Amino acid sequence: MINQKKIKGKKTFLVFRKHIVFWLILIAFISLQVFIAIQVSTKGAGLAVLENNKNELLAEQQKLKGELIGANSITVLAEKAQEFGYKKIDKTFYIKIDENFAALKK
Amino acid sequence: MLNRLRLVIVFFILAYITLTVRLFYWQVVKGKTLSIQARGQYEAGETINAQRGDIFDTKGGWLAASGEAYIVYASIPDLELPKKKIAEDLALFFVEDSSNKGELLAEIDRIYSLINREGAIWVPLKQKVDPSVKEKIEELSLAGIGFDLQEKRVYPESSSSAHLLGFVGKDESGNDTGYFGLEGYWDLALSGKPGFLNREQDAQGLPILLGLTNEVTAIEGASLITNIDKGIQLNIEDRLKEGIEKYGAKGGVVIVLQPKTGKLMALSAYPSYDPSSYWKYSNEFFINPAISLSFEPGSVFKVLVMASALDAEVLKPDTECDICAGAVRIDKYTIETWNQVYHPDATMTEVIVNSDNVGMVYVSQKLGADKLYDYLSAFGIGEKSGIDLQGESSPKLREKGTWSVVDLATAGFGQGIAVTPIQLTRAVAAIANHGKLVAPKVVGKIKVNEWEEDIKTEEVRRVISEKAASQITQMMVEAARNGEAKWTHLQGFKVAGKTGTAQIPIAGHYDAEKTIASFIGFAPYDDPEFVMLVTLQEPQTSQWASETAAPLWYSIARDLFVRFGIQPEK
Repeated sequence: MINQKKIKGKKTFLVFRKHIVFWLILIAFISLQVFIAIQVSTKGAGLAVLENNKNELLAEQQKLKGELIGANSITVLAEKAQEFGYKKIDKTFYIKIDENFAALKK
Repeated sequence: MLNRLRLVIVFFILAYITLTVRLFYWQVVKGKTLSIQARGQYEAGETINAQRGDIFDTKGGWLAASGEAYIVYASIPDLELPKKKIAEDLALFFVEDSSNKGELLAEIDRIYSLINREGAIWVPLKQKVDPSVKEKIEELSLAGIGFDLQEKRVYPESSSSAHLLGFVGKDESGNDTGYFGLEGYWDLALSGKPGFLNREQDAQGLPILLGLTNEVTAIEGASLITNIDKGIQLNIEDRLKEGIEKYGAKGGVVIVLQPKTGKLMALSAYPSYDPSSYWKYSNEFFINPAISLSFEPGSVFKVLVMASALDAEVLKPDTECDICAGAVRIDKYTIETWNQVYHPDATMTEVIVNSDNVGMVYVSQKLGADKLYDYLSAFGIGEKSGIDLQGESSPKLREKGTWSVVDLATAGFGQGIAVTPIQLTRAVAAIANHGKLVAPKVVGKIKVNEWEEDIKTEEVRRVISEKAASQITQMMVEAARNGEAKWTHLQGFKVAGKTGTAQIPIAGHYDAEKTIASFIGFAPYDDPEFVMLVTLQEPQTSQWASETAAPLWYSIARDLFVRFGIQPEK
């Protein structure tokens, strides 16, 4: 009788341990799931921030490129040169190798 | 008790049936619609635009580029001010001339009707707005008005090179498409291929990384590095405008080509347009007369006919013309010289120098119609030059075997035959290139990121022998030095050239007053750096090319000599 009780008690304990293990594993999985979900959602927000940064940089790059293109324009340069008083060449002089083209006044 | 139980059972059965019917309705009948709605809530899709490639000159300076612009939009739920007030505020920035009240009121109505549309949430109000305008609108701090970056085509040299570049407009679907010139010809390469991004997002619009994501990356448009020299291009534009004003011409064309390679260094045609505001111009402005319009070339054509006869060895430079003592009668027509001055027994060189029509009748008769046809075809007359610009056309050469004696005689001095300016330039470039014909090319290189590929210049065929090329070149040198345009010749420079004054055919006869004046030449004649054609449409100060097109040619050549470091002989 005593032995039977002991065996029964032992069985109950084993079942109880099994339940505990099951719940522990379940809780661990749920926690992991929640943790991963939080991590992933944070990464999504991070990705959105990175994409926004990228777009801002692209806009900045486009703006700088626009300025560079404007600065590269010969038409604009010619207008500015005219404002500063520069003139187009009217006449080109060709000189011989042995010919003096500049000399200091004595 | 049993009745109650039955009642409960009936209730459950009814509830089950109702639920099933309802589920059937949602899942099957409304399934697709709801599924789409749901996807719209948790899925976000967007097109990734492919940036259009830039167009550069030969030294890497921009000719056309993708610049910064904005789309102005209204987020209707976020609007705080009255809609009418917003329309009035914005219209001031969207019209070109805010003092034009009619235009302003029309714009206010347009904006108001857009933001007042029933059920609208996000409404685009204006496309391609400049950054400066965006900044001014931002200063107003209008709640609900936002900006999205978009691409705008920028032409830093404004209307310069318009006929070369073409423009970017919209197709039927509202997509950016290139029209005319390089933008049209190279549209596919320049456009690239847009991509798309489709992914799941949470309630806040943030991407869910574990969700489904479909992404196709955009392929950036290729950039074109052209053979155009911006310095020369802008110079010929200025000179052509000056020339047109000075000689009272209706229009004109200047083409500068490298004869050895066929590289097109500059091309200008007037009237022109501004590609960044192409919509302000009518369609005829977009036609590039250098490649799309044909004209009867007149005396400049004589060099091709003479070159053919020299190559066929039917005559030599010192062969004397035995019909040049007076006007010559062909069928029912009498052919005279341009000034009714005749040169008995003139040599072939003198025929070219004097631009003698009767002498050229002699040459073409010596050559014969079939041979002349073959040579002209070999020179590329009657076929497209193959230039990489959209809109090239080619007038047909009269079919072989159908030439009458009159056709043969008049073709000798460039009448009754039509060419485009690019065809003529290409043909004379073959003479400058020691008899070898090349295909004119605007683009020298295509580039995408780090990858680039050269566009090889192609030698199409040998048209005439080196000897014949040298002989006709010498005749052109004599023509430049001692011909009608000798007064404008730059002494000491090695120029080979020929003038041409062509009458304009109108309704079956030639207009007595209107002419097309041309000058074509190359320099230095023994090792040419450039071949250049200048044509002026209906010059008013003088109808003769020697007094209009020739001085304009030399005024441009003077700058080109400096550009290429060409020194005078003496």
